[in-house]
Amino acid sequence: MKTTKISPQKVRQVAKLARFTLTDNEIHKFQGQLETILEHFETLGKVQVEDVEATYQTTGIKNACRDDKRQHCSLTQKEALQNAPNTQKGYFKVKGILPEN
Amino acid sequence: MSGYRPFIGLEIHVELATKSKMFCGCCADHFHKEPNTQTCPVCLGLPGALPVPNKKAIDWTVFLGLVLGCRINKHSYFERKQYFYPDLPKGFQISQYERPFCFKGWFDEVNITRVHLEEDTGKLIHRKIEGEKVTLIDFNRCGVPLVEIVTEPEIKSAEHAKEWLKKLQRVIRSLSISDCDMEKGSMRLEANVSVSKNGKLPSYKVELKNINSFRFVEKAIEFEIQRQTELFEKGQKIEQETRGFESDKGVTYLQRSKEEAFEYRYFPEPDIPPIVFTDGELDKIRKQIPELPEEKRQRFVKEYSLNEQEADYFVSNPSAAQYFEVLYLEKNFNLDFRETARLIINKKIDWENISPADFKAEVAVLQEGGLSDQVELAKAAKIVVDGNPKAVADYRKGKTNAVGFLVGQMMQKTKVDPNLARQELLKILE
Amino acid sequence: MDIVDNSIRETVDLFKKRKISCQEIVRACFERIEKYNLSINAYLTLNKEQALKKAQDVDNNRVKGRELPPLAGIPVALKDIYSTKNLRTTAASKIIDNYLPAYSATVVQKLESVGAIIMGKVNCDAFAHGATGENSDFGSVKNPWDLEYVAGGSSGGSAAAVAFGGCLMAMGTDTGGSIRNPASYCNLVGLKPTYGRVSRSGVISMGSSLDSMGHLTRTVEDCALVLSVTAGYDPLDATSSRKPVDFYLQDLSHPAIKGLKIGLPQEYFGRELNPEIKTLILKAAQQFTDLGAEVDEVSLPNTAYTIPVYYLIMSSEVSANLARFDGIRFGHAREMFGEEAKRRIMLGTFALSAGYYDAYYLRASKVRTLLRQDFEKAFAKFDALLAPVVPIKPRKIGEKEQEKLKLYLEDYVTGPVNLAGLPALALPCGFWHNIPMGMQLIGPQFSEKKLFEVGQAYQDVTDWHLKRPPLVEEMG
Repeated sequence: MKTTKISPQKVRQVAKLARFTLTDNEIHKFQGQLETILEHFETLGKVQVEDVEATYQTTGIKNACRDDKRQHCSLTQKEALQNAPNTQKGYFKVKGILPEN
Repeated sequence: MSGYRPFIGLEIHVELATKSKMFCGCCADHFHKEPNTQTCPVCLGLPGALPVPNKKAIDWTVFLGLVLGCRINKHSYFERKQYFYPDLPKGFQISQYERPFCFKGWFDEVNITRVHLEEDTGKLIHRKIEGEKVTLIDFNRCGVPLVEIVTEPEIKSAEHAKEWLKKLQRVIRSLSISDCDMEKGSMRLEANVSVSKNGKLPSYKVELKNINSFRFVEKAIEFEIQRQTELFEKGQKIEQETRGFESDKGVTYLQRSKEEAFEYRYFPEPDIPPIVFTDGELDKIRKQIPELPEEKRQRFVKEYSLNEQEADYFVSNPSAAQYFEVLYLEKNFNLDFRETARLIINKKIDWENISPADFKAEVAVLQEGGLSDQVELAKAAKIVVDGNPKAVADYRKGKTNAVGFLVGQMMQKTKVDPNLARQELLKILE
Repeated sequence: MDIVDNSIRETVDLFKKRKISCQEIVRACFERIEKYNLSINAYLTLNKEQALKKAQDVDNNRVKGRELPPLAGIPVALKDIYSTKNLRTTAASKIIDNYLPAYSATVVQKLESVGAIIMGKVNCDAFAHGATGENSDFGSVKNPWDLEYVAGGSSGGSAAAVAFGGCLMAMGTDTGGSIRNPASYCNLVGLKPTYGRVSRSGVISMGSSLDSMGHLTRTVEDCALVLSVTAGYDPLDATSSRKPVDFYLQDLSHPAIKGLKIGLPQEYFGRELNPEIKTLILKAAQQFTDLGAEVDEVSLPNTAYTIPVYYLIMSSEVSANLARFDGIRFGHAREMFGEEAKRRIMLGTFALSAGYYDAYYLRASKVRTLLRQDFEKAFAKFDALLAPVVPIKPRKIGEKEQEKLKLYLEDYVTGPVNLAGLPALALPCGFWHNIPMGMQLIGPQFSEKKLFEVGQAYQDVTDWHLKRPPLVEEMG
């Protein structure tokens, strides 16, 4: 385990990745909290994990797939849009963004 | 050029023509449908909805990977690729990273890094409504299975890129897993371009996006090589960045700098158990690989002594190729291969509307000259028309193929050039 | 005591004997809700009109002599992270305080198909983040046993609703202890099924590889009945098991305890465990011995790493699962997330970020394997493990404010079960002063049937589960 010091810059970067707009106060608060939490987690660095496979799932299930069939599960357009704050003629609407692709 | 050598790698996305989407049972055919009419909680990213993978999409990905000479990861899994964008409802795309289904392939002298499977995003439409810039989102396309093919940076030039991509498209189409159409968006391209003077692969690459035709691929790459070379010659540095291509101006423009690059934070998809293939399953898929376009072209040249263009025609027109080969199946036909090819290619005989047997008969007549006197022709034609009222009625109803039948009837009675026979018959029928 | 304070089994008997109607019990539950919900704050959204209508349908069918499905007429509450079609689902968070799902969770559909009456959606820690019910954006849930105390969490509303008679059973979820903890606080039976035994489809995800869909009831028998309904493979959930569902009720009347080997994980009984709680659990252990079981100590050596492993993996999964809340298709802007949600998202994003992934998320996933192996080795020798659920003295409302982060440390007795994907059954086993206290029986994967038998054997010789909160006793 490298360090439990997290710079404010790193906190800002993480907030950006998480799509949060944080005030300076909040950055400072999270910095402190994350450092405290990670300090508690330092013990993890001492465990021998060489040759240990990671566990991502506990079921042991493999190949849980479905056949290529169309299900009658679709939502109507109305249902799909029913919770949207902004819509326009069947589309979801957001403030204009620069086109990328 | 100026001592600068380009390094070009390609990333191709292919929409698979499955019936249903990648992780849900919604219809995958989204072209020209009313917006947001083909969604469900899963592909709309509603809280609580879980992804269940489409087996056919996985099989077709492995199929394509094998065709492209790849090795298959017998133990593979999906991962979450995380970033925020309005066309990405879950805030992550289910894709592959560490263990793609296919890797280390080879196609038309270019190494393929990987072939993996992921889900498509929604469609964005940028508009101005009452003076305000808005972006409209349609999720019909969201969740459609997408195969990503990545090459090593071994493409040598803009033209090479274009030619290689055309060949790739032809192969994919021949497998019937996608219509692989750039206009429909079922084939999408990105090019990674960098240049270097010392022949070594540079540490940066510029991603070119928003290229939607083969012509534009060539133009975009050409422009970019030029732009980078000029910058280097001025002594400037080039960093990792993403650029779009503006087709009307023929230029690339900055979209995202290195600092703004997405950080994807991949981790294994916890909602989908791993996919494991047995040797038996892979063999089964391997056996389904058809004769590929390049193989076919070479075979037609070799076996039938055709030239490249003639062979190409048959590769691009599978039904013509099949007809051609059937003609020689029974071994009672000995017209020169190239003659037959020309008759088919130039449509000198209406092969699409007559049986191979009739085709052979018409050829026989052509070889022997046949009836050409106008009066005799007209007489023969009238006899056939009078003697075949049903065929005539069919023709009058709109079944234009019926005239082919009448030509055949004429030729049974007398030696005649089929085209002349047709002309006469049509005179009477009109 | 009132008809709403009975178990499901007793209620079904009363229905069969025509002693009460379904409408009566549903109305009686709504009366309790009217009287107590304001002070206990269990229910967030009521489904009164639909519930009464369905109750009427059930009664009509009964009168016509039609055979009734297993949960016909039984009032049920749903933790507000279960999607219910066109019934507001908030996850107890302001960010989706107006969200109307266009579909219902598979479990909800299953319950409805066997006649259960959905009374409404109950409060919880927002997005299931918490262990006291105080992280709700709609106010804390209070413990019906003593309103100054928490009801436990994160399924606090589920527990409180059953405890005060607002329903006869409630669905909850358990990602690190969130069913077992409130079961303990409210004197209920709480089941965390094997991961994959019950479908997760339609339930707002917290930790995708950890979430178990379980429930709270008054008795072990009720608990077994409900699992018979909710368990089973779901094609909409790729992590759900195809293993056939056991007949959970089959051997409850003659539970086989003799010779059963029960282990006490020594790491759970260390210095951190409150001595009074320890006494209660050991008393229960003695009772199992008296019933013929063989109780002995066992070691789960990697227990100390539970907290970092659990919080790193859970937060990482949470950070990805909550990314869909972007205010475009539903809900409000991301600023509306509560503090705890933001904290976990930040922690998870950090643990997965470049340069930290190996040291945090990947390492935690590897140590997770070691924790699983601890259990595998233990179950080679033992049939079940007996452990505490709440290791510290019960908390009063507001106490945690000073020690927000310390709260995380208490998950060390419940968290390992989720990391290993095992089932665990929480049972009332006494009182700490006037607050109920529970214990848990942990078993190997898919051993729920055995756990029910052991639990039933215990309830056959004890009466903790028959006690009701004072405010209910007062009602008469």
